[in-house]
Amino acid sequence: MRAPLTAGILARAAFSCLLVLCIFTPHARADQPMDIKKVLILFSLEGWSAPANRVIYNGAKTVFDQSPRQDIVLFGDNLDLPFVTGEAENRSLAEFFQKKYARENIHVVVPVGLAALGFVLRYRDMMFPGRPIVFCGYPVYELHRLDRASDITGVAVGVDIAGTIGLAWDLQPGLRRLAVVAGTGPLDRYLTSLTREIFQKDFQRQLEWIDLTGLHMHELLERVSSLPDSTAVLYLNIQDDSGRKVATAEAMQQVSKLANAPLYNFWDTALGYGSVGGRMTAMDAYGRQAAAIVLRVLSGEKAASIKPVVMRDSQAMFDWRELKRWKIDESALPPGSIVRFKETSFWENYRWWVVGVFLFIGLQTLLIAQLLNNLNKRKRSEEEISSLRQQLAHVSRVSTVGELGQNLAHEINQPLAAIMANAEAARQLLAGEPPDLKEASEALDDIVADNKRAQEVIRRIRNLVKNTPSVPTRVDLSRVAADAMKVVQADAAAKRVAIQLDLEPGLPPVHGDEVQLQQVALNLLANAMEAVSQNQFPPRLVRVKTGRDGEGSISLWVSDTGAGVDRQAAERLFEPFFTTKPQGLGLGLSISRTIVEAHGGSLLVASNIDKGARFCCRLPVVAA
Amino acid sequence: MNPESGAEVFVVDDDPSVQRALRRLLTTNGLPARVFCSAKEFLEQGASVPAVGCLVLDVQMPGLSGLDLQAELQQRGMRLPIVFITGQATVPMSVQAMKQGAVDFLQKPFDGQTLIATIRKAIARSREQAAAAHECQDLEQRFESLSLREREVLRLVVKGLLNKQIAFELGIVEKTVKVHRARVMDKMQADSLAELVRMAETLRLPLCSSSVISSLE
Repeated sequence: MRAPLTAGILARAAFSCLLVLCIFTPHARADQPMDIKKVLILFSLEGWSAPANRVIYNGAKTVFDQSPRQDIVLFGDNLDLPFVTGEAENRSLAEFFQKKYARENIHVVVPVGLAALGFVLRYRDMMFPGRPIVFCGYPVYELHRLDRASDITGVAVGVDIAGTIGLAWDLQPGLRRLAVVAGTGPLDRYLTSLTREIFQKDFQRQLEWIDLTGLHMHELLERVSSLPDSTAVLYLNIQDDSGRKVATAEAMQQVSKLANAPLYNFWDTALGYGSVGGRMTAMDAYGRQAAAIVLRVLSGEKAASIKPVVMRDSQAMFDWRELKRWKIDESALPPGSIVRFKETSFWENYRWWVVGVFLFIGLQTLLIAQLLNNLNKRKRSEEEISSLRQQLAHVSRVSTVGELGQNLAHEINQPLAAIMANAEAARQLLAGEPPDLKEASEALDDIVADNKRAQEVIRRIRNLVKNTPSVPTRVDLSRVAADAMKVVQADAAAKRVAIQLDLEPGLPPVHGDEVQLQQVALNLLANAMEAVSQNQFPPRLVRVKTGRDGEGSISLWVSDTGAGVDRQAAERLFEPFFTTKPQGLGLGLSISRTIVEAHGGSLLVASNIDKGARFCCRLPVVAA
Repeated sequence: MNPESGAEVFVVDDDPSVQRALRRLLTTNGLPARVFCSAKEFLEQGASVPAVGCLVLDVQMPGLSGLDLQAELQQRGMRLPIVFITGQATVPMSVQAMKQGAVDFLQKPFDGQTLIATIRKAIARSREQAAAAHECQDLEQRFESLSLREREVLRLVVKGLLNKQIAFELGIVEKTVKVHRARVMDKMQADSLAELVRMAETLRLPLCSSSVISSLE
């Protein structure tokens, strides 16, 4: 008595533990045997149906994958049923499958198609005893033959043969004949008889039936290539070439290739193998619907209590390439038609690439235009600056000449005075008794010489005052210095300034504007003279020197004995509007430096060791 | 016959072509000219300056300017009239020149005839000055020949005193005064009292040496 009680208590405790475990581990652990539900999809045949098989299988798998259930394992297999078989062969095939899946303990069987369901039903007790069957793709017209009580349900489909023939009628005006192509397989024969029924019922009067069923492939190909006018080919199905199995997709392609009339079909998986189109049923919907029913069965519903789903919806679908081939206008298609395999134009294919590339090119063009515009603007403003600089230089020259004006007047008055005196003398010499012709002639010679001298002075002034665009030439720096010296010499005399020239003859020329360089020399000289004229005691001396200054350069040095330049002022000396003179504008040196730098040279100031400042204008010589 | 005879014109100008032109113009007008290119050269070489003539000076010259030369000559007591010529005249410059006794201040370029006329005027002035100087020298010699007493009598006579008053002043008899007076008139070659007074005035001019003046006191 005692022992069974203990055992009972232990058993109860163990159960409680298990319960607790179950409560606390809602998800089964991997190492624990899980209650896995196995679903087997069985196909009838390989070959033509292969694409259809794949689509159905994928449709079902998608549904299982998306369902919250994680315990479903999907198997797929092919019965590969022979066409003409005896009971013995069928039985051994069934035995083979029974053995194959004996250990798997399949929960639900999904036979696809007419033949597969027939086979499974026939050997059900052997292969999958007591298992519910969810069929897929069974013809809706055969539904009444099924014994629903035997735990069976599924997806019944109705291919839209009538709709497809009607489509051909609509698309081919003046259609008179319908060539019906089919093999001798079970499905082929079933579809043939179905079609014949429909034809007789709806199209007998309008169309002539051309029977292309059960022919050898070579015969069939010959016939379809020589069809009379106004014919449409209705390709039902070919599973075999007179008993030999064929790859159905390839058979359809072959037929379509040689046919001289458009070929219609009603399975969407056939689209792309030579069919122009038809009212098609979507094969992946078969798979999805079947999977949905399987899920209901797995969750406990009795298969017998689930009403079979009937799918007879069809969709007008077309192969664009075939439409082109048969010159069927897309606008003639019924509204809502789906056109596949459309060869999209380059524009359609690469629209965004094209748009992108053009956008890029456009932007780049804009950018380039903008840059060019900027370049132009910059060039223009550089030209403006250059012009302004030239005008400023001119103004500065004019003002320099203005400052020197009185003394320049002296320069001109000197020869004029000589001319007046000579003219008066000549007049008297000629009026004399006898006239002194020799002396008069000499006087006239002197007049001419003095006239030239005055002209020369005027030329120099005009050179400085004129405002012509700079014309770069080869310039002799020593000559420039000598000319500048001549311009200021009267001023120098007035200011009691001595100018000492030390000009090296035969210097290599510099490339530049003679007038501008002369302006620099003049400015340096005028500054130096101004500086030394402040001296209360001699020497009031300005030294002007030219000579070579290192490799490829020559210099003009203007040195004075003035007060010199202090370090602070030296730094600011070349700034515009900086001046140490009470009446200076402060532009002379600034302009001079601009000119020298525009000539590729430099203008610097240094202090003399003894007294005063020394300016050095250094210029590159013309390369030999 | 020629009023410029013996007169000489000195031209100082640093500009060679002006030198040549002026020399030609002056020579053509019968005015002997000597030309110098700087004030320094003139001072060194122009030592033998005649009594009658004139100087034509350029104002702007390197070294000593025309105005500097004018001042220097004044200091040396050389009294030739000066005509300035300049290429560039300023008002202060011309005022200074004229104040210092320049005859004229001509701006280049000037009319040749104007220059000649100015030079002639200068020479005329020179001649006058020379004549005045000559007369003064003559009077000084005559004055030198007077005895101390006679010079005293001359001073008082010119002052306008009567012989009686002079006798009283000098503490001599009137008759002796008369004798001195007659001698003074004779030695000074004065025909009348009025002329004597004029001579005395001439002798007091700054042209006369100060020693003579002081000896009169």
